[in-house]
Amino acid sequence: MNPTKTWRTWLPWVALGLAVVGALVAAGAFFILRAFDTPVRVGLAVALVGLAAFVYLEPERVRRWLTGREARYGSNALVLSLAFIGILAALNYLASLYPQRWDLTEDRRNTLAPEIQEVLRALDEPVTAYAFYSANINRDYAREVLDKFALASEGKFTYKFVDPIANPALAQQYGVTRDGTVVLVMGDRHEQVLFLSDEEIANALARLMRPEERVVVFVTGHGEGDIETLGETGYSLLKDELTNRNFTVRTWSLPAEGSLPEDADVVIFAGPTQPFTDKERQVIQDYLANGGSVIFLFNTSVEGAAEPDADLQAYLADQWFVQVDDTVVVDTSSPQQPLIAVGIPTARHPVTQKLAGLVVLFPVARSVRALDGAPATLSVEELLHTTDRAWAETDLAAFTTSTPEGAQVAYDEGEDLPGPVPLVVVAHDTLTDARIVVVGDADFARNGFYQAYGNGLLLLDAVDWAAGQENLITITPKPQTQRYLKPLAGYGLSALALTSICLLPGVVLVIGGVVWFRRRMRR
Amino acid sequence: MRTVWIIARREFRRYFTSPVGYLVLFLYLFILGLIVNNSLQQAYAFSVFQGAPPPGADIVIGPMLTLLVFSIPALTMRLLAEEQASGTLELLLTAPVRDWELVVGKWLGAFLFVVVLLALTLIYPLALHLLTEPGLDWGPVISGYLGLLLVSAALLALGVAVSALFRSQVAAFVVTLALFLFLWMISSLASAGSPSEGVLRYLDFGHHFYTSFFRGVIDLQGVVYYLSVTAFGLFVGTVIIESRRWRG
Repeated sequence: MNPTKTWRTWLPWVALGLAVVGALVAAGAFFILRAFDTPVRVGLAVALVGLAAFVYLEPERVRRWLTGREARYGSNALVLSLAFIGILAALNYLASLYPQRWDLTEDRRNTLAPEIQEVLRALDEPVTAYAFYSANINRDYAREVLDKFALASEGKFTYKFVDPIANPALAQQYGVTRDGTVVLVMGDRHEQVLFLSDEEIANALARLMRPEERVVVFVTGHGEGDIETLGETGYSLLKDELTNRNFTVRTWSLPAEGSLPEDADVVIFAGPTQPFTDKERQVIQDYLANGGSVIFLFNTSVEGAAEPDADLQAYLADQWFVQVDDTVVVDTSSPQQPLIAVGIPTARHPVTQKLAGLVVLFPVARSVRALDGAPATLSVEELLHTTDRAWAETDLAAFTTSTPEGAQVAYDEGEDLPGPVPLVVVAHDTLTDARIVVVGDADFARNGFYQAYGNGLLLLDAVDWAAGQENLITITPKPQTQRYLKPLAGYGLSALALTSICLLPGVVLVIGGVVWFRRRMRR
Repeated sequence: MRTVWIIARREFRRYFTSPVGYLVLFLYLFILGLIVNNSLQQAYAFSVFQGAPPPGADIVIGPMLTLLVFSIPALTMRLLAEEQASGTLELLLTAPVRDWELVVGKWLGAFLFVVVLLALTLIYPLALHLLTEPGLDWGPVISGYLGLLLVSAALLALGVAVSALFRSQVAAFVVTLALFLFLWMISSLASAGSPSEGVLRYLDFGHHFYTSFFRGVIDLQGVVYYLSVTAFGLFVGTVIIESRRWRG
C-alpha cells in the first residue's frame, strides 16, 4: 500500500475532527466563562486551522459539498432542524413560564404550608439563600427543602450551595461557624438558619422582611460572666453567635444604672455571685411585671455563688412557680465526672425543639423545678432532666469539707431529690407576655462548654423564645401518617434477600437460557 | 401508523429471542435486587434500635435511573447500526416505509421492552407495601415510575439517533453512553453560580427527575422537557436516515 496515499486519506478527516472539537471547546468555554478568554481563543484557533487544512487537502470534496446536491439537501435539513429545535425551545420556555406541579404524596410532603406560601407572596425583594455545606454532609434534605421555596416563590427565592472549606471568605462574611448553616440574604440584611426546616426558613424570611433591632443585655455588677472574655470562662462565643443572628448584644451594670434598659428584648443574668439589693430585686420584679423577658443562669454555692439569695428565690417561687433549689446535681451516668449533669430534653417546646437527639452538659448544676398550683395565665414547664441515675444532693457541706477519704456524697432517700432531676424551667405569663428561663447552671454556655453537644443551641433558642422571636409564623401542623416496618422473624430477612436477589433475576436467566438453547437446537 | 406498529412489534420480539435482552433484564433486576435488599436490611437494623421511619419507594426508584443510563445504550446500540452493517437498511429504505416510521418503530419496540423491564421491578414496591404498616405511600411510586418512563423514552430516542450514525454496535454503545453521562453531569460544569448555570441545569436530565418525579411530584416542566428530548432524538434519527438518500 502506498503510504502517501494512506495518510492523504485520513489526514483531512483528522483535521476536520480537530476543527469540530476546537469549535465545540470554544463554544462550551464561552458559554461557561462568558468571556473571550484563552480557552475560547485556543479553541477557535484550532477550529480555523483544522478547517483550513481540510479545505487545502480536500478542495474537490469541499467544492462538491458547497455546490452539489448534498449542499442543497443538507441546507434543507439544517433549516428544518433549526425550526424544529426552535419549536421545542419555545414549548419548554412556555412550560417554565407557567409552572404546574402536582404533589402526589399522601401527606403533601412537597407542598409548603399555606402560611408559608403567604410569606413568600409577601416578599418584596429577592432573597438568596447560601447553604454552607461542606462535602462531608449530605445535601439531599437541604435541596428538598430549598427547592420547595425556590419553586413556590416565582423566582424571588433562589439558593446556592457553598462549600465553606473551599470558600472560607463568604462563610466568614456571614459569620458562619457551623457546617450545614443556611444564610438568607435580602439586600444588605441576612439571617442565619442553623437547623433547616420549612418553618425555620419561613421565620427567617419574616424576620428579614421586618427588620427591627433586637437587643440582648447581659447584666453586670454581681460577678456575672463577661461577654468579651475570649478564654474558657467568657461568653464571647455566645455573644458572637447572637450577633450573627442579628441581635444587638451589650452589657448593663444594674448597680450603677439602678434600672434595666427599656429597649432590651431579653435580659440575661449569667451566673451572679453576689446577692441583689432590695432595690435591685424590685427593679427586676417591675421589669417582669411590665412584660419583660429574663434569662437567669444560676451557679451553685459550691462554686462560690453567695448563698442563698433567698429573696429572689422566694420571688421566683411565689410569683413564677419556679423553685430554685440549694442543691448540687450528682450524675453517675459518667462515673469519672459525676458533677457534670447530662440534661436530656423532655418536653416539646420552642426552646428544645432543635435539640432533637442532642444532650446538654451542665458542669456543676443545681436543680430547678416547676411548682404546682400556677394560675391558668401562667404556663410553667420543666424542659430538661437528667437520667434517673442522677440525684440532687442537699448536703452541700459534703462538697466543701475535705476528709482524708475525699468527699463522701451518696444518695440519701428522703433528703435528696431523686432523678430524673429537672435542670431548666421556662415560665410564660400570658397576661403580660413576660417570659423567664431559669437554668440551674451558668457554666454550660461559657466558651469552655459552649460548643459541646446542644449547649450553645439551648441558650440561643432560649434567647429567641424569650425575645418572642421563636414563631413569627405559626403553622398548623399537617397530619403525618406514621409508618413502621412490620417485624420479620429471623428467617424472614433471609427469605427477603433470596427472593429479591435470586428469584426474579433467576427466572429471567432460566427463560433466557431456554430460549437460547432452543434456538441453538433449531439451527 | 400500522407500519410503525409492525416494526415496533418485530423489534420488541427480537429482544426476547436474543441474549442481549435477557442479559439486560437479568443484570438490571439482579443489581436492583442487591441494592434494594441492602437498603431493606439496613432499615431493619435501624428500626430495631431507633424506631426510624421505614424506607419509602425511593430505595427502589433512586437507583433505577442510574441503572437505566447504563442499560439503555445496550438496548439501542443494535437498532439501526445492525441494519447498516448487514446492509438491510438499504433494503428498508427502498421498501414502502417512511424514514420516520422506521425510526419511531425501532424506538417504540425498545420502549415497550423498557416498559416490561420497569413493570417487572414493580415487585419491589409491592414487597415494601406488604412489609410496611399501614402500607406504602403510592404517590411517589406513581410519579417515580411515570418519571422513569419519560426518562426512558427520552434516552431511547437519543440512543436510536446515535445508532443511526454508526455501522458498529460497539461504537454506537460507547457514544450513546458517553452522551448520556455528559447530559447527566452537564449541570456540574457550571456550579460556580455562572449565568449559564440555569440553562445547564435545565438540560441535565437527572435534575428534572430528582427534583420532582422522584419526590412524588409531577412537574409539567419535567414532562415537557422529556417529551421534547424524545421528539428531538426521533427527529435527529430521522434526519440522519434521510440523509443517507442524498449523501455521497
